[in-house]
Amino acid sequence: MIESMEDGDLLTAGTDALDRGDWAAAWDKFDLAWRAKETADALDGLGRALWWLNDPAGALELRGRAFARFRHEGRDAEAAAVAIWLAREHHNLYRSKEMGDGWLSRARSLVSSLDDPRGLAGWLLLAESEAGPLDLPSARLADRAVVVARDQGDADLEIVALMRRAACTVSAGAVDEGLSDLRQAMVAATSGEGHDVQYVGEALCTLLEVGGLLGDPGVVEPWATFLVDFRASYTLGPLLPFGTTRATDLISAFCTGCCGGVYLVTGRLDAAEEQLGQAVTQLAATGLRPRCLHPVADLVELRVLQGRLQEAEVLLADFEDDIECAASAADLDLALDRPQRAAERLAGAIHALTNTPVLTLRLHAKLVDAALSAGDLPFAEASARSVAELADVTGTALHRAQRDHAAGKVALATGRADATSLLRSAAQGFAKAGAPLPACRARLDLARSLAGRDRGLAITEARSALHALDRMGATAEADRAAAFLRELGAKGRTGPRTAGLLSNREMEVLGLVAEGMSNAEIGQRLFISTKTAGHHVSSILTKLGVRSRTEAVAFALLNLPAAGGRTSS
Amino acid sequence: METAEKAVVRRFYEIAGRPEDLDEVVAPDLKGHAGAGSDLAELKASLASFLVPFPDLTPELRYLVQEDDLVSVWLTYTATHQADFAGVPASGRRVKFAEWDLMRVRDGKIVEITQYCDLFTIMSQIGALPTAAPA
Repeated sequence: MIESMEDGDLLTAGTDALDRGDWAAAWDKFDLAWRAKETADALDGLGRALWWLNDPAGALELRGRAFARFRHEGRDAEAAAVAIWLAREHHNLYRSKEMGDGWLSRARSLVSSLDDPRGLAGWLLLAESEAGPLDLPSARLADRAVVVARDQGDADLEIVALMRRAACTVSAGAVDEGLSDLRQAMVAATSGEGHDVQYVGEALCTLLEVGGLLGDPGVVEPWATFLVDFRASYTLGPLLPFGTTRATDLISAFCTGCCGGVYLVTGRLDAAEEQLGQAVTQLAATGLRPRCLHPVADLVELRVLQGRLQEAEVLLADFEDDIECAASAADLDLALDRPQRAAERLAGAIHALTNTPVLTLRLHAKLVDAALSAGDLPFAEASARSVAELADVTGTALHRAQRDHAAGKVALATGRADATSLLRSAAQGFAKAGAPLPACRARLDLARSLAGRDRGLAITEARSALHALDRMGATAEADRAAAFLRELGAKGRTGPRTAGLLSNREMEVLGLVAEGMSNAEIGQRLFISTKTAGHHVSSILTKLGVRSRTEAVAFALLNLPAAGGRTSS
Repeated sequence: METAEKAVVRRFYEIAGRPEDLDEVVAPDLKGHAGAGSDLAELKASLASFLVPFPDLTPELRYLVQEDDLVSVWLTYTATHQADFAGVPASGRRVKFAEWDLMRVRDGKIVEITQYCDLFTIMSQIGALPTAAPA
């Protein structure tokens, strides 16, 4: 009797530790409890702790065994809760439909046998919603889960189900409605209404997923502080594997750990390479993948950017039919000059995602490239129109930039005069939305549109794109930019930028430029012609890899202490 | 008092975000000084080069003063540092800096331009200069 009291105390202490987020202590308590007496509760507690200690496979195994013990002890409600949890993990973390569906049927029959299933009926609806795609039928299942959650006063369920409904509604195209759900759920999550911290973590992941879906950091921004604090207080276990944190910007402060995809968009390709490499290894070894991205798809995209096409092909071999890899596979097709195959692949994926139109925006955008490469202008125009329609639905800055880029490329191909303004607007839009890589692509297209009418400006824009692409390590596209500059008869790459590259005369000229002198004044001062002064200035710009006199002065300010005495340009 | 010359200068800032369209208000044989570069091509390159690191560059005209065909402008630019500028990588910081432009307008076109901007402020706001005062 005394012994079982102690067992109970250990179980309570374990549960308390879980609530506090002290996973190691929880593990110790449940371990002691299990050693004292092999109960379903102890086993289940061990499974829950292990999940947070970032061994989800071990957690699934333990809780699977706990399920059998609960059944054996005749505790069907507890068993059903575990079965629902297992179904959700298999669907959400492992994308394993067979296992997920198997646990879902176990859960369904148990829940239906209960006299009073209470919140479990809602959790079951949520798990059923998550077993399906991000579409309206799934939104309706999540909606019924919300009703149950409110009826039962289950705050955890309400938060997760609202988030699920939000993600489904947004990807089906009802953006405002979805975002309103999302705000509601986030208020509940951040105000501490929830009980189990796992579900707050899940809500945050869905938040980032929706933000990524819409390409709108504004979705995440209001909760940024909370995200960062939460990330600092808890490791997120398998939701966000590899727990390195470096708070450089809003999103990566939260999920640096898994979001190689974030780095792809923000152009930090070296960081993306490291994270995605880890994620792919983990996917291959354990089947586990981060919730918000497909590491293989993103690594293929990265390899294509780097011009490492062979490696991209090898990576893709086992994932060719995965819809989430369609866009990256199309990138590879385009790089290998197979536009027809890219177009078919993209059209197939778009067809499969009919019920979640927002997810198809980037596929339509790539279809514009494929159609243009294949010389099919009407198809390119139609695809650009689809991008525009979807961008109108979401209204986010990133999607508007994609709309302008698509329309601009079509205008460029047909020689229309509005190409330049569309492409400039795209380049600026991408840059403002924090997406420098697509900004570079748009800028290079902008340079192409300017080539016929304003060669000088075309060179400036193409050089800007080239420098940025080189810096990001997007080798293949940088080579394309350099080739275009050579077509224009301009030098592409410049060497390392140090003042040491300048001749003594050029140093002298740079000092005078920094004092705000014009070429004529420099000529007078140095007893050379205005034209020669001008030659020195252009040579300085080329050697330093800067784009204008003002930038050269800024460079001088940082690197030539003697010349930096003036603030003028 | 609004004059034809001032209207041309105002238009210049309206389209400064699209350098390729500057021919509308700038004479092909423009003479430029200081930050503007020495001719129209350099002026366009100069503006285009600012729009890469500062894509949301927004001018706010504070004073517009005219004497004969010369228009002097004191304006404030605001922007976000989003790409490499003079070797300083994107910092994401907001910048706000003063610029002084002097333009000569003849027959509805800008024929001469001198531009100075407060580079010290830009460089210090993007974190490239050590500052004496604690941040």
